Order: sequence, then structure tokens, then C-alpha cells
Amino acid sequence: MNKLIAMPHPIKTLFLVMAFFASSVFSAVTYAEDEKQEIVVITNANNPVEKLEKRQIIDLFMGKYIAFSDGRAAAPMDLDEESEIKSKFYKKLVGMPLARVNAYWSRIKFTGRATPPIAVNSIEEIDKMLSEQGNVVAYIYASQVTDKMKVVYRFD
Amino acid sequence: MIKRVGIAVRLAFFIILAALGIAYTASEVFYQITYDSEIEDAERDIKELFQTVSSTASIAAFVEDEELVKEVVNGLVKSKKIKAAAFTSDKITYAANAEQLAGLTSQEFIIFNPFIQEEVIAKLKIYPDLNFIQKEAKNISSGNSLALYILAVFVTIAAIIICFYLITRPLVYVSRNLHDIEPGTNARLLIPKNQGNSEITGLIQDTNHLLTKVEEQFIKERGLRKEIEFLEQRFRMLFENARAPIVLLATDGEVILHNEAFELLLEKIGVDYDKSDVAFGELLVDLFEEPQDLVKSVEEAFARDEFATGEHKLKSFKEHVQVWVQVVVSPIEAENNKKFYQVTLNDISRRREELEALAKEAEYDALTGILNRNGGEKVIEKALFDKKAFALVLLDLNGFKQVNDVYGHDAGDEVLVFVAEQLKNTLRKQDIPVRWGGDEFVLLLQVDEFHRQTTTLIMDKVMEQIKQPFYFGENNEEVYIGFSAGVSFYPLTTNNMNKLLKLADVAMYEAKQFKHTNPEKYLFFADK
Repeated sequence: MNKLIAMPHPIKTLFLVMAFFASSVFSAVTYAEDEKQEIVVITNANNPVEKLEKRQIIDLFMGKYIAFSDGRAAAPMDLDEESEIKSKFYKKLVGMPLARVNAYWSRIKFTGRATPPIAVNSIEEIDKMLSEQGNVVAYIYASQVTDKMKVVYRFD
Repeated sequence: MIKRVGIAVRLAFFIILAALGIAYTASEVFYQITYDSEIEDAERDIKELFQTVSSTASIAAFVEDEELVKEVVNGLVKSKKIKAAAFTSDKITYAANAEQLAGLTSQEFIIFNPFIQEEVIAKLKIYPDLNFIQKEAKNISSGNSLALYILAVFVTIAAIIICFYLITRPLVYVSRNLHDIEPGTNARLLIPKNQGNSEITGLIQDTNHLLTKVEEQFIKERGLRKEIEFLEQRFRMLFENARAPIVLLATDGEVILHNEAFELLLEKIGVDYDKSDVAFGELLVDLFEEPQDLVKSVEEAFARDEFATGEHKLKSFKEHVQVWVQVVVSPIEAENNKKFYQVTLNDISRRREELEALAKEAEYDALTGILNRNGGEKVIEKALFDKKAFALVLLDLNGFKQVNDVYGHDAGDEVLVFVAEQLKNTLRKQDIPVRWGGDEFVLLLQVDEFHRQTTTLIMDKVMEQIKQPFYFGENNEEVYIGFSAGVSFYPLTTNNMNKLLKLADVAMYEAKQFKHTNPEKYLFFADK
């Protein structure tokens, strides 16, 4: 049965090479903006929720509970695939590359039990959602925080 | 040929036995090993199955998706090795084949939060289908065992065939060959084909070498035996056909071997014996008249380290047979240190008789049996030589001539024989009568210091005997014979024989004067 999950050698090697490239690319990109480009999780400034635990953020973004601890529904916002911040965010949150996060969603989506975050294209759209809905939860660079937002979690 | 218990059969039997033993043991061990490893494999397989579903299960637990949980659990129990599975988290509990769960052993797996490490969010219990696993393990093990047995069978057959061609057949061939070979002949073992330079070839070569040696030995021994037989024949011939009786004595003197000549000797002296027995078995000395003499002479000779030789008289059981033998006794030592005596008994009776006869003829008077003049002279010479005192009586018969003339020589001879008889009867043992010639006699009388008296006494007795009348002729006429005698003494008269005779003769003639006138004075002593 071992053989069933053991990958054939060439494929395994390919994976390793790909992983190496991916990691080197990310480290190169993130290195320059690492300090100042801090990612924070924000919600509406008027949201009574002051702070979120990491696990609460995981539950929200990975589709377990679309609600705050007080029972109010939450609306997690996800940026589109290509954005740099998205992959950084998930890396920091669940330690997974985007590909795996996507695979996760494709695996559970069809059961209908879990709902992925609402996908938006830009920070402007998040701004717009903030004014429309009072329960937005989104991730942005710390430099992008405005008055309408309240930081509820910082990645150390 | 003796039927041997086939080495091929025995070899095959033991090979099969060994193969079966090895196959049995090996299959038992392999069975157990395979079985254990199969069981282990099954456990690992279950772990792997869990690994396969663990990420799905983890996601299902995280999002509390019961459908996904069902999918995972039902997927697991589709495996033949898994009998049942049960999923438990805070929100969801699901079990497949739950009705069979009671009392079954299970493996429990922990399901972590897919995003937060080490946060346990659910547990999955998997119940292996032990029956199936064991059955499977048994099947595989049995298969392995069967394969082993089949392998063993083939190896055994191969071993038997190889042994048969390489060892058994050549050995049996050699054994049969050797059995048929008669030792001492020029028959040899043949080397079976395809043996090359193997030990069997060596064995055959060595055996052939031995056979050659045995043959040589046989030939040598046969030659020796022939030689010995030839010699024995010769010796037997020599012994058997010897004219002289030869016997072999044991140390105690018993005759243990004798030849034909000895048998003839026994027959000659009339000894009964068992002819079928070569040993004779009696003591040789018992055949002799004076065994002590023989024993003594033999002992003396041996003491001097000489052969014992001597002339001895045998006992005789037949009348008028006297046998003298020259006995030669020599000690023999046989190879085994046994001692024997070889005795040769030469029959010398005839020679002795002849010698005796010859001696008698020369010294004795054929008619009267007493010494003749020749013998008498020798006796006188010997007496003179010994310086033994004696009286010499010269005696001349009176009336003999008339008897001879009137009644013939036979009557005269009768008178002479009679006189000689009377002399022999009357004289003492130590006195010797001699017929001196014609009607003359000489008497040698042993005398002491009273020589005249003694002589007179003896002569008177002689006269008494001779005076008896003879009866001759058809009318039995009475005839009287008398004598006149002269005496000389040695050494008293003289020590010369001729003088003694002469003086006695003179004295006798003196007496003759009185033969008619005074026959009483018939005896005169010689004066010096």
C-alpha cells in the first residue's frame, strides 16, 4: 500500500525543484517590503469587535464559521488570485501556498457546507464594502489602513 | 551373486527424508514469518489508508462537513482489510458497520486541525478485518510453503539423479566387479566411464594395485609350496627308503616316527606293534636286552657333546635270532625349539656272526670247540704278558691211536670230543683247555704257592672222568682211554713259552714210560 502514495521519483524531483523556485521567488519579492509592508486584518471601524484571535481569523477565512464570536455574521473579503498580498496572507495565516488553499476550497466547495470569502479585485472594492456592510473582515497592508477601518489582528 | 541392499535406494531414501525434513522445517518457519509479516503489513496498510484519507478527514472535521465525513468513513470500510470505522468530533459522530463494532480491537487515529497544528479536532477509529487479514496471510503463507515443498521435490529429484550417476552407479558397478573377481588371478577392476580423476577412480586404481600384489603373492607362494612339496617328497623318500632303521624319539625316549626299515627290524625280532600308527609309541630302550647300558653310553656321549654310538643287542622274541645293532643317537632341535633324538639302528648281526665265526675258526678247534694251538699260544702269550702264574700241563692220550686204527676216525673224533667235554666240565672256570694237535692237549691251570698239589688234585679229577670206558663197534667192545702228562710252571720253571712247552714235553715222555707198567704214575713235573 506504500506504493500507492509513494510518488514516482521523477515527479518527486520535479516537485522539489518547483518548490525551490517558488520559495526563492517569494523570498526575493518579500524581502524588500517585509518590514513596512506589514499585513493586518481589519474590520469596520464601528464594529464592536475589537480584537480577533488567529484561530478566529482561520475559521472565518477557511469557511468554518462566517460569524463573529458574539454571533453576528461576518463577511470575510478575499483579494483576487494574482495579488501578492493574498498569497502572503495565507502563507502567514495557515502556512499554505495559494495552490493548496485553492485545492482546499475546490475539495469542500461542492458539499455546500462551507462558504469561501467574498472575492474582490482591489483595495478600493474593500473600501466600498466597508461603507456598505458593517461586518467586513479583510486583510490589507498596514500602510493602507484608513479611518474607516479598525485593525483587529496583526501578524507579528 | 549376493543381493546387496541397493545403495542407490538408500541414498535416495535418505535424500528424500532430509529434503522433507528441511522443507517441513523451512516451510513452518517461513509460514510463521510470512504470516507475521502479512499481519504487520495489514496494520501498516491500515495506517497508510488512514494517511490517505487523513487530510480529507481533517478538512471534514474542520468544516464539520458530515457528508465529507461519511465519504471518508464509507471509503475506508470499502477496503477488504477494514471491517468498520468510526469518526468522532465535537459536532459529528459517524460510524460505518457500527453494528459490528462491539468487542472488536481497533486502531485509533487522531485528526488534527488542518490549519492549526497540534489541535486535535477529531478521532477516527478503524477496525481491521482480522479474519480477512489472517485468512489472507494464511493463503500467502500456504502458497509460500507449497512453493517450498515443490522446490524441495525438484531439488531432491535433481540430487538423486546426480548422486546416482556420479556416485551410486559407479560404486555399484565397482562393487559388483570386485565381487566377481577371484583373488590371485589376473582379473582387474575397470574404471567406469566419465569418472575422470575422481576418488572412485583412485579407489579402483588402489584396489587394482592390491589385486596385483595379491596375485604376485599367490604366485610366489605357489612356487614355494611346490618347492616344499618337492623337498618333502625327497626327504620322505630318503627316510622311508633308507636301508637303515631310523626313528625319531621324543625327549622321553618314545618313538614318535619310524621308517619301514625299522618295521622290518621289529618283525625280525618278533615285536608286535600297531602297523597303522607311525608313532610306534613305545620306548626305544625297551627293545634292548640291556637298556641301562644303552642309556649310560648315550648319556656319556652327550655329556661329551658327541653323537652316541655303540653296539647293543636287541631283545629277541624269536628263537635262535640274535640281533645286534649299531646305535647312533644324535639330538635334533626343531624350529620351534622342540628337542628330538634321531636314532639310527644299523643291523650288524650278520657282521658280528661272521666276525665271531672268523675268530673261532682261527683260534678254536672246530671239532671240540675248545682253543686250538693258535688260540692256545695266544692265551699263553697273554698270560706271560700279564705275568700271571700258571701251570702248563701237556697231556697226551694213551690208546687213542688204537681206537682210530680199529674203529675208524669217527670213533677217534668221538674220543677227542669226549675228552674236551670232560676237560671243560672238570676244570675250574679260570683254567683253560687247548687242543694242541692230534691227541695232544695243553691245559693252563691257575695255581698258587701249592702249585704241585693243586695241579695233582685237578689232574686226578680229570683222570677220574676220562678213565670211564667207551663202547665201540658192533659188539660194543669196552675201550679205555688214558693219558700221560708233563707239567711245567710259570714263572717257577721258566718264563719262556717254548722252554715251558719243551720241559713239559720232556716230563710227559717220562710219564709215558710208565703208561703200561704203572698207569698211576701218569703225571710228571718238569725239573729245572
